[in-house]
Amino acid sequence: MPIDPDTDAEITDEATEKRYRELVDTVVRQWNDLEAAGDRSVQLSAEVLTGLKDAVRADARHGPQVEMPPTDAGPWTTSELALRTLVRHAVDAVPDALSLRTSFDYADGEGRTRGRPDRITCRISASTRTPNLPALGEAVRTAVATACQDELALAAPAIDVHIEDLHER
Amino acid sequence: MNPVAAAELRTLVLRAQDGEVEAFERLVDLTQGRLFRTAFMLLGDRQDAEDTVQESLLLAWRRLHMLEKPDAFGGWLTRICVRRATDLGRQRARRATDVTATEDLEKLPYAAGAAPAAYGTAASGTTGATAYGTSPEHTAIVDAQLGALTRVLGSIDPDLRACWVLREIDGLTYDEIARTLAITEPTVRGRLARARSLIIRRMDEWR
Repeated sequence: MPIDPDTDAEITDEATEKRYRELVDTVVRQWNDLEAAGDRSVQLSAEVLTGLKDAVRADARHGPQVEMPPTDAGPWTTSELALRTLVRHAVDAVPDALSLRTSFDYADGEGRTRGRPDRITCRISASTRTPNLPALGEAVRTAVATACQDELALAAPAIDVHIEDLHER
Repeated sequence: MNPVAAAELRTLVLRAQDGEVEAFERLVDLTQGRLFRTAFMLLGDRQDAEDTVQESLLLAWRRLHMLEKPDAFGGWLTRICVRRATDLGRQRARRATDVTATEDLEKLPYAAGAAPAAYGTAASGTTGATAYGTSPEHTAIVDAQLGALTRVLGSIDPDLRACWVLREIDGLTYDEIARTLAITEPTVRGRLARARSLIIRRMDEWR
């Protein structure tokens, strides 16, 4: 077969190229069909998937700790994961709001523990049917502040709400 | 990856970055099949491919906060997986060179005559190179084609193989392949052409 000087590869005739393309397409199509049918033989096994998800959950539990207002029994901390989960649930509970990502500014902490959050920034998505976006933002702010107060006795962190996406619902 | 709206994917990535484990688990469900196919085609071994995908997804979870653009999640994850697979492939190739004389060739990935690796193992609930085999629900033709393709891929250089798999199986653009493998686009074109040429030469056993 002739050689392409640019790639150092053989130049193939049209019939060979067509046959090659058909074989590649067949393998890809068959694999896709099996995957679409939920066939486990072309995916991770159930054991591996379960192991992976368990590892992720274990990993999530070992995140940083955050200082909270002391109680009568003494100082206490919570995990940042728990804090994020609390905020996410508070946002999701507001009709037409969907939490995307939350970030926190912390006061200085001691050692490896983060200080109390003094600013919470909520990035959210709003339903396209929301009649009043500023009102939705305010409802989210109130919901997060209430959750922080009720669940953590964490009063008056600044709460910024950014509506950065819209979703159908 | 299963078809899923870009907006839904973006939401899942952001929520996973926020620490929502359920969102990441959904991303795992959506991406693992595609990643497994890529890793399997690169490594030719079910267990190695499973290990690679599992490690890649766990690493992705740990580094997810570093991903600045949620829309780039798919390409970012593919890069992690392909790099791990190619690293593993190179390590294994070095080991195989050292010990082939005393190994059972049938148990080596990509060994001539090895059964089609992706099939049967999960369906039967077992894993591992020695558990390869055909599964009753799959046709002999499918097995034969994949098995032959696996052998052909195993016979070409890992760098050529990676370019070929990303282009012909995953459908990535030259630019995406270049970024994934950290090489230039002309290098991608050259490797791809040589890989095609080698595969076409051995195509008859793949039919």
